[in-house]
Amino acid sequence: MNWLCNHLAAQTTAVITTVITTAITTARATALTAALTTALTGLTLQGCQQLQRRSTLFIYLVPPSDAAEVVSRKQLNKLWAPVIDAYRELEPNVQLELQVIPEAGIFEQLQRRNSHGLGPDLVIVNANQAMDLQQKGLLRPIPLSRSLAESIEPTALARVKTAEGLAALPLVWSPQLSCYNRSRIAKPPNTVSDLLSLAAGGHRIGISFDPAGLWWSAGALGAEKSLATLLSPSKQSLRPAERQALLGWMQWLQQTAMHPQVNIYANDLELTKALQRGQLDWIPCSSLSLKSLANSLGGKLGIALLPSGPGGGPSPNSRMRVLGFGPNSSARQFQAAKTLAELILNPLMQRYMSLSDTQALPVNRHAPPPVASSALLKTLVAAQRQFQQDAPLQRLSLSLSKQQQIRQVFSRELTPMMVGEISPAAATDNLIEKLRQR
Amino acid sequence: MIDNLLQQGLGWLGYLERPAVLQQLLPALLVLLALKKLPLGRWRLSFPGLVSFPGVVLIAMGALALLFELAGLPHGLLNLLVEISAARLGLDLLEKLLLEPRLEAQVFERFRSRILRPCFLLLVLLTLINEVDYLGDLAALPMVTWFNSSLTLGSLFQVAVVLYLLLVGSNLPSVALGWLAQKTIGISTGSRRALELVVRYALLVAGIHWAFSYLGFNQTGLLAVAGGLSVGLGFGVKEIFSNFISGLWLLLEGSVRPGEVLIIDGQPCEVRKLGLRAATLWRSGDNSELVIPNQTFFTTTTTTFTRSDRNRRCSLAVQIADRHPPRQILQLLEEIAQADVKILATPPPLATLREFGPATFTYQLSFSIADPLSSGSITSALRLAVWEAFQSRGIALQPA
Repeated sequence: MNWLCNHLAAQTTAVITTVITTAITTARATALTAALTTALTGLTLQGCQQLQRRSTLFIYLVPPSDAAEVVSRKQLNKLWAPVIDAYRELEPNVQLELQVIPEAGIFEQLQRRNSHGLGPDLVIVNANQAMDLQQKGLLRPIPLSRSLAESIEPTALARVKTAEGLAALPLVWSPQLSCYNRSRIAKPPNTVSDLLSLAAGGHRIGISFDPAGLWWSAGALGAEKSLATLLSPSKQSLRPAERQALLGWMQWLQQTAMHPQVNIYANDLELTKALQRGQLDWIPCSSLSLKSLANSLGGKLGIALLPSGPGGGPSPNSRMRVLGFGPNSSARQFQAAKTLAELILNPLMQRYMSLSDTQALPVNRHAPPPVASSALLKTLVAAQRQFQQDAPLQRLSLSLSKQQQIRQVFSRELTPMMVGEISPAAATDNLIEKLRQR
Repeated sequence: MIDNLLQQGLGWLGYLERPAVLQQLLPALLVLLALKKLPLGRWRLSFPGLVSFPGVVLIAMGALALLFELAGLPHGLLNLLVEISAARLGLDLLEKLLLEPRLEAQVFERFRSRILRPCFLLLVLLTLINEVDYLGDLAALPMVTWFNSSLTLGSLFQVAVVLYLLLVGSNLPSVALGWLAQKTIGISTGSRRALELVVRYALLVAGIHWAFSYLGFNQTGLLAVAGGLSVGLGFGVKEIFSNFISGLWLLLEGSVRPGEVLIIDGQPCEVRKLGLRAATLWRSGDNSELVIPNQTFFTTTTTTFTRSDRNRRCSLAVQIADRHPPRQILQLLEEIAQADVKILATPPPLATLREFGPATFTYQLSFSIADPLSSGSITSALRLAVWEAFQSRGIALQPA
């Protein structure tokens, strides 16, 4: 940029000299010519100086495809206003350019723009997606520094760890919990049996075909370890007790799905919309949907932990949002991006983010959420603890493509069982076989 | 609103600080500047399609992109420039090979300059913006709030494009409908043109109505605008509105239609076009075009030679010494006129004795011609014939 500006200034000087010489030789040195040349010089040099001083940081927000709320650029800027203000104090000459990019076409967008040199400096995505993007060279790997290792939760770092360091920096957690309509359900179910009792009492329960939406129940039915074994890269065989636990989970899934008051939806987004429309009374939900649900249901929205069961506590998922670094940044942009990441990850900003936007929990271990002041935060923290405590399934660091592959196998094998076409035992055998072949 | 856009646009300049972007753009720019100076005349004759400027740009950008690829440098932007150059060349070939030979010169030029090229430019612009920003997200950027409707950049852009296309492209469907009506119902040419204009107005009104609905203006707001507009019509834009209505009325009435010949400032002029605001007339005398507001025809007397038929009655006067017998002169004048093929036989030329002077008599020769715009040249030729005939008979023409 410096070179370009110097070149531009030299060119402008040459043009101005020519104009003045011509004006003198042709005796047309009017006041207008003089004024124009002065103004041009001023504007060019000022514009150039501004360009030299200023820099822009291009940040992409990739909302999850099942996010209930469509985020616009205006909302994003409003949401990020405190971060932007704090950052402006640190880097007054860096402009933050926030763009919302749909998850559906993110690979193609990044591939094309990165090949043009026009990729983002920072990308906010889900952790599993960041792993895929980094594997494809669309994100710059980040070395795991000692300060990062000291400040960020180890569980969070483990999810984005690669051979070269980190695929991205952990940003916030979004745990899974249960959402219900308080005007229809006075007390949320504590156990899976309570859940079925609620259904038997005429309450409309929603679950999804999407495995990510069902896995919480594996923990409650004691099948979480079986699933973790099946999904582990070593592809170990299941012991009889593990197979039995998996079969128990399958039986519960079929029993629940066949219940007339249990409605099965394609994914979490459909579930959220159904609860918003009043078609359902209870659903498993992601904390990312809470804002949208609160907007529609207001005071009627109730949240609670997912039900436990005979096998123990539930095994909720917790989505981690991360901050990936693009490979196209100039040295100055990369430095500015690092400064922003440090700002977002510092305990004060992390605490502020969890307080102002209570859909998420901080990843910085030195920024504990103020649970005493908020029942919602207390529930979120408890759900996050369920996720982190003894959850072998969730400890698997799976990339998005692997997750999608597994998701397809689950959908293919579980769907006929849930609609009663095949028995739980047959579905268990099929699932084991298909996951081994994967 | 402008601040938002300006900030957005200035933000994109941030890409220019990236080495990968600069190292693609600067060579491309230098190549483009060098190509501008390249003399292509001789080559163009040998390879007319490819050796146009877009063709040469395409080849040069392709070569540059290939060079970058071989050197393992980022070249996505150069590929994009190749794609744009290819599209530009394609557009050129489409115009030259397909459209120009098939369309009338005027229609082709209008289609090219008003629809084809602007659409191409818009497409390139959107492609470039899509490279640096996400169009869907950018389109949702709120621009202005008007009557409780938040107008986004996308909705404003869509409305502007649709209204522009309606304005420049509504001619084609209206002409097609007029042609169909003439062929099927057998309406006159004037009525056809009136129908075309009415259809065009209707399309424009429908377009504006759609634009308001699409932008989500509430009815109260529109009523307020209409109220303000009516006051505005009474003062500021009265003339424009008056011309607009006059044009429509003239067409419906059929008093001034394209092809008619009117006398403006004593000169015959042919009506070429009756537009929304003004009529365009062609004056044969000096080959000039007059743009006259429609309401002029509506409020002033108009002389036309083409209302019921296209004939024009012209006359010329001569003065002859009183020693020549008037009957002989009258007969001679009529014979000279009858001999001119450009003068109509019916109604026949008529010579009359107009005035007795002290030493001369004034005669007038009236005659009809088929083309009102040729009155000057035909009268001149007739004067010459009169002079030659009188000279040969020893009759001297007297000064007036």
